[in-house]
Amino acid sequence: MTDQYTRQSFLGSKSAELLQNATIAIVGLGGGGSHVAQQLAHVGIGRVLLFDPDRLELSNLNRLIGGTAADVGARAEKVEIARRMFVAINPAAEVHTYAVQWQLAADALREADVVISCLDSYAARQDLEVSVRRFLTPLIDIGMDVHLVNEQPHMTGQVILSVPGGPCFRCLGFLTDENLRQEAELYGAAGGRPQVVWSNGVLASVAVGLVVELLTGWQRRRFRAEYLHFDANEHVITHSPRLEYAPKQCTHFAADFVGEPVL
Amino acid sequence: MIRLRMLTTLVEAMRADLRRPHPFAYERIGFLCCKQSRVPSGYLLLGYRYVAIEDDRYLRDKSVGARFDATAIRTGMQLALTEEASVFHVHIHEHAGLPRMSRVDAREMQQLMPCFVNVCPERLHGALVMSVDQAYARVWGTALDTSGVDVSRITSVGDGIKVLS
Amino acid sequence: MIPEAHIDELRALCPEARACTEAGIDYVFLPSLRLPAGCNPDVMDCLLCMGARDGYENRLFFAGVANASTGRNWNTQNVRIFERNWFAYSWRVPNGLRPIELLIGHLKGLRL
Repeated sequence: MTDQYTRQSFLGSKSAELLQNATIAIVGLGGGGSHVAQQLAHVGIGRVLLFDPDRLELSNLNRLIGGTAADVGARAEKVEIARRMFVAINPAAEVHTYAVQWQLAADALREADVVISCLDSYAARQDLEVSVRRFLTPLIDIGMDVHLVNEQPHMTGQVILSVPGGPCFRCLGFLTDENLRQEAELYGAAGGRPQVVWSNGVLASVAVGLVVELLTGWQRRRFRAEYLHFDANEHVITHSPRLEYAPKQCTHFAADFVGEPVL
Repeated sequence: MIRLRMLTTLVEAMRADLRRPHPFAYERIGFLCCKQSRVPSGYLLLGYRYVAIEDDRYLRDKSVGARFDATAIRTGMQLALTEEASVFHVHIHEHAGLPRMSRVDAREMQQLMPCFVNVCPERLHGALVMSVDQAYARVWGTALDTSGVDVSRITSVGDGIKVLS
Repeated sequence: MIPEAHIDELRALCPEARACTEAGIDYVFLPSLRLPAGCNPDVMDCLLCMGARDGYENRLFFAGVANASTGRNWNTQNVRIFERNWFAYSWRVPNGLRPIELLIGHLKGLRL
């Protein structure tokens, strides 16, 4: 183990090698994804695939890790900002950037050992989960939102792990026809979602912790799903009760839902 | 680069079957069916089904761990054709750590696998050798060297991600 | 599962129509469906979702953006279904129609 990772040697004698040889994809390099990228670089992930079609705007600067005022002026691609940050921390890492929607580089996404979804719509998450399940890839989703409760802003978020064979987003009650319908009705009227750096950081950190646990097994825990709820007003993360009531095996994706379909 | 990825439940089912004693053969053999996808770095093979070879398809041959008859070979080829699958010949070496193909394994696979490739040339086919905790695989295909190519990364997905290779 | 009789009905417009399911959602694949006159291209693979999806009661997805004289809001681009990218325009057709009426109802949006 090199000096760079000695402080995380408790993760196991092979942990550095396991992390170095893993390929992690991040879909969405905004407020959440940029945090994830930074931490994955620090922890020693050797290969990352970065997907985001957008360029940095001024309204992103309150939360996009690695983004600078100069990047706003230059209209820098979010994937390029993440790439620059990643290789500055870990020059030996292999970083592949796709400045397009992930659907336009879907064959690259298949190489990932884990996909981290930092998307901001239920519809997008639905499609991503279906696709990564076909390729037997665990998916971690993070997201936050602000809504009014008694006219006061209430900030919440989630970190969800969906593993092929285990309960999916629908099994966990995260994706429902109702929330997809409501989202479709709001199309174009939603405006920019409220987002702040510290909540994104909390969620991203938990997601990275799950990635490391999946790859190293350092806790020797058996788990095929995770659903963590973040109450950012109370600064508390709890297990969602939905995890307890979800089926242990997925009831939406058949066991033979593997590989490219034949239409 | 060639990757092989399977669910942990499938790996465990394969191991459980392959470790069962046979009335006279020293080893058991099965076929692993995989879906094949192209990825930028090469190929991704996704294991989805294991087919055990029935007891009465084995032939008595003390010179090898196990030998199966023509019907069993046809079963494997049929899987490749009807399911449009990449098919792996699978057996287990009863030890911990990274397994390797024995000289006998290598010789047998070098004869068998080109037959699979001839029958189903648009797919890779190969040999998967498991140990109690790891695995090794080699594939053959029309676009590859005739002696085959090692699978670079074998992982199982379930309770975590286990790197088997 | 979509009843075979429904698929048979759709074969009047698309002889190769066939049912398919992904993640619990049923679709009818309509390969090389002929689009209304004036469309470019005039033939395209389509996917008919006869049930609820993404907030629509039913939806017709296209393999690309079909240029037509009628300007349509193609508000769904690169949605991934069956490992292909699909497009759809904002258009609502009520439920309860026969399959062929549903398909024609969706194609109406491309007609002059």
